[in-house]
Amino acid sequence: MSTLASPAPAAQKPSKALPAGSGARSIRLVRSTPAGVWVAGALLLFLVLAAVAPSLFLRQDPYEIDPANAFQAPGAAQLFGTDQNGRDIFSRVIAGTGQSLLLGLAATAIGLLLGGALGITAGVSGKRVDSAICRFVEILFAFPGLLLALIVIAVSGTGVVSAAVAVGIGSAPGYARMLRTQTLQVVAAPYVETALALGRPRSHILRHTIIPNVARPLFVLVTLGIGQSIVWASSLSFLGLGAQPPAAEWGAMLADGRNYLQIAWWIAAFPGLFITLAALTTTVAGHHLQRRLEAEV
Amino acid sequence: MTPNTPQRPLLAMDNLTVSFSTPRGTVDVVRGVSLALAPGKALALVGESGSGKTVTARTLAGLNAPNALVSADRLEVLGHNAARLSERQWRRLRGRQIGYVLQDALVSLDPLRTVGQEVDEALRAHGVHGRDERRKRVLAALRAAGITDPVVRAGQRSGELSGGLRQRALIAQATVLNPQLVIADESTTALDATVQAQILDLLEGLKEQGRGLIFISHDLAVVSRLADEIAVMQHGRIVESGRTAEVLGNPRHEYTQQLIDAVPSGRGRGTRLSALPPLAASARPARPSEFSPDAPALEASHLVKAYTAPDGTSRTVVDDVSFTLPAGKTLGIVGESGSGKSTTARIVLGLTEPDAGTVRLGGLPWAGNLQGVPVPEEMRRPHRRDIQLVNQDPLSSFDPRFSVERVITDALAAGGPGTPGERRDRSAELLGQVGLPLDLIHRQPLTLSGGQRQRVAIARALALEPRVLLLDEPVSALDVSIQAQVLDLLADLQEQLGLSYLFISHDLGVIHHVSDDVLVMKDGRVMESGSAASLFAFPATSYTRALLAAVPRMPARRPATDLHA
Repeated sequence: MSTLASPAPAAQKPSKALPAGSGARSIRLVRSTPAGVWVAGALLLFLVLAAVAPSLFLRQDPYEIDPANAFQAPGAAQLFGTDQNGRDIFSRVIAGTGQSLLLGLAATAIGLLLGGALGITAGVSGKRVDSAICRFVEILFAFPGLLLALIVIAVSGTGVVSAAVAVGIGSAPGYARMLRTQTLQVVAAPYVETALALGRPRSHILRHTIIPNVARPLFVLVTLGIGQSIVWASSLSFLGLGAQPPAAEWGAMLADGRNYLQIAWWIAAFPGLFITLAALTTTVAGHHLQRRLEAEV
Repeated sequence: MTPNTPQRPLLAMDNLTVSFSTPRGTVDVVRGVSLALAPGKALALVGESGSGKTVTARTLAGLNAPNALVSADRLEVLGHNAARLSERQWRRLRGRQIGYVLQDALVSLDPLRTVGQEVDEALRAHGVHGRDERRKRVLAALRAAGITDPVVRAGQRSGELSGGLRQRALIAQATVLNPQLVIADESTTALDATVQAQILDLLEGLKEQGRGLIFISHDLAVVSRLADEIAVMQHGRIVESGRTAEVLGNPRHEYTQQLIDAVPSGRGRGTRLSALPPLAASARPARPSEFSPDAPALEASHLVKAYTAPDGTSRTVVDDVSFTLPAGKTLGIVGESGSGKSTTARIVLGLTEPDAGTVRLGGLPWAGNLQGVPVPEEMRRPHRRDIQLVNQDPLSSFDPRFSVERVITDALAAGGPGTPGERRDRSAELLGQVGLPLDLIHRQPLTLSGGQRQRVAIARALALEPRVLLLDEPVSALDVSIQAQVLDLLADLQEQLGLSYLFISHDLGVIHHVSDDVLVMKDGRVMESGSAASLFAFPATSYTRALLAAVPRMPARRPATDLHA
């Protein structure tokens, strides 16, 4: 028996192509962005535009009352119809985008800040501080997030600001737990040890190595968190604890429309649709970013 | 073919080409490879990472990725035309007639299932009925794979086993159905020398039972014991093949010669292992030293460190370890996994506080007890630049956000003031010093090869102009040919910069090549120490002798290649 040296490439005979060992298929791996992500991205862009520059889409004053035109079904004149006071629902939904998204963002930021402070402190501190923070976070975890938010509202009173704070506090335990795990991983990484061996003081390593690396996957958490915060903030407004009528806020509008659901479904349906859209698009975008980030690592 | 081969060949392959279709076009990985194998013979595929050896082997087991395009003039495996095999037919062949021993024992076993279940899976997949029958065969396979207490081990999960036992379990899994052809892909890489020798014996036993063995490795010394024939692969082609003695004794291809030269075993200090030219001398003036001139670079005395296990028992991982590293010399610490060498390294770096003992760096107190109190980190910090670390996995030691340039400029910034421009110039200079092309400077370390990453890590370690480098398994993750280049680079740097090396490795061949003095560690204790020359010539303990015997060696070709010479 012998092993033959392979012939020079020039001498290669044209050989019959065989299927890959796994069978007759040869799948072309096309790495592309799924269509759903494109749709979500376009919708998200629309929502952001509506939030930043509502005048681009507004055709009417969202607060203008016109009793003669109340309960108009969706049509050419009023895209989404009118409510019990004749206000144009499309204009109100667009006008409410800014507040809803801002509420979502602010609540996420508050949640991240609180959760980050707790989680990172726990991750870099000794056993005692760590277990104290962990027990505290576990107590908060015992309450469902929305219930926690309701407790905060009960203490601080209703309003948009306290709704944002309440939702932020409600989501903080989750962030604290995730960021603690992330911090523990980073602290144990050899590059932190290397920084120590280079003679860096611990405070420098914390600020320049640990926190930036813990924060790296945060933008994914933020996009995923905004959707949830919007839903929670709208829930508070729906319960009459956040934005108050006649404010053009999706949750408040939904609450408004539910009394007329049998005669004019569109009053409640369109704000509800937008809450769903905002939550869906940010979640789809967040998951896509997450997959991209994981593929990178 | 020799005229008297009565048996049918296990494998006949002519002009195999494998390419992968990727979004960026087709990539040829194997280009016209021809191989043959008879029963009872072992064929070694040797070459560095990316040479196409694993893809070739996977093709023989029908295990290629769906985007692989395979073509060949002839491809017969165990008498079947592999081109016409359906996935179902491949499944019947795999396990029953082809045993594939996977590369990474740690991730190839399911962490949630016991070893017994893993081996049993192969039997069930091929319709072996009867619980008792299967149990008997599982235990027999484990015993045949050299596992001494198969009943206990069969009930354990992969996480509870050592690397050697995991590798044995994988071999048991691949051979439980008694296949005629066994493919072992880097099965001994990353194992300690004595364990590696045992696994090689085991594979040799498979061969003697009349099976065909295809053995893949990047290390010629490892395959030389086992293989009847060697095929050396480079860039997807076989550049040289033939009987083992001929290929090793009279290599015709330059690349084969390079691989032979790269083996460090039995090649003392000062021998070059790679074809790289020595470093050009650097004109940089040396940094003024605070070290007392006649003190040793590093001195450890009576280091002790014990850990308390969760069950309350105390385990001494470093037990009365003392050594001296003279300035400008290399002290090699050799030991198998669990010998305490990594903990010793952490103590020496001042990252782990010892329970007792002291470390002095350049004559100054550095770590451990100083008149009853531990040396505080604040006292160490100004001298941290004097001792730097290069570890086994350079990638994990780089901040994942950093480019090559940031990695080095960040280290330079730790050394004190300087303008960003100065640091950029100096980092370019350092890259040149470790033999890296300048156009790598803006790359992310993730996109570099293993050897390039290790060079970046060395450049970073040099940034602060240290006196001592602690090299913790710096070449263990590298192919032998790349290892040769890195070892040569380290030797050049030592000569030029007057560095002292504390070199930690499980590989006795590497330790012998680099060290002036050697320390042999086992179970936290120093078994033996002395000058490399005398220790390797006259090992005093049976443990050292056993370690030496296990080192894979090339058959003696030139005089004085034997370790005992």
